[in-house]
Amino acid sequence: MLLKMALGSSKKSIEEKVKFRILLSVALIVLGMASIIISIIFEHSIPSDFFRGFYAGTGGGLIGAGVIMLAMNIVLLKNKEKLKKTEIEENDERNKFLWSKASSLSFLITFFSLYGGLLIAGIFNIVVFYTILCLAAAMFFIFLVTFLVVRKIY
Amino acid sequence: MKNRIIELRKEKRITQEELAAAVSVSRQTIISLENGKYNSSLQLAHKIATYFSMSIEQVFIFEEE
Repeated sequence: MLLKMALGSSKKSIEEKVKFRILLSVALIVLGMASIIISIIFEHSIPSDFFRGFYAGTGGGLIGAGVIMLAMNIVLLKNKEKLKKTEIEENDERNKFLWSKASSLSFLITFFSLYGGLLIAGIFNIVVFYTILCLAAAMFFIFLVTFLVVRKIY
Repeated sequence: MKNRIIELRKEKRITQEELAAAVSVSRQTIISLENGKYNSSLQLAHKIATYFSMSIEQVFIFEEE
């Protein structure tokens, strides 16, 4: 379902999509709370301050994003005119085209930047070199899998 | 691909916003179509042609590249 929504082939109405997003924002809030609770309960088990801060920080961020998303979608669901405008914006074929163009271009830029980083890192640091190599390989692998999945759909 | 959207829209005396709402796209899409920056899908071409009570070929001018 998520893949279909991402590819824009979902036949759901805008009301259903907004309701799904409300559920998603509640899930974000719960996940954020869980993250903060973990950072408090396992305060002494978590080895460094950085990771404690990371759990608490991402938890706070998730709660904040969840609350904003929840409020926006509840308001949207009650306003029919805004809902119609959002539906048009989301289903607008030019917006989908722009999204697809920007995605493929950003993939290419990222991939070539990684390759540039790989060339530089090879001279200075072997650990960074292998990290970038793994990232580039993972990116290419994800691209191939996504391509095969999309080819099956269309 | 060229099109006659501006001409037909002016003949019918409707705004870009009204045409956009009638064919369920954003106003920006109509602007890009009119400027020839964006080529519409077959579905949108059909909607626009139907809106002007014409065939697709009468609204959109296909050119071999």
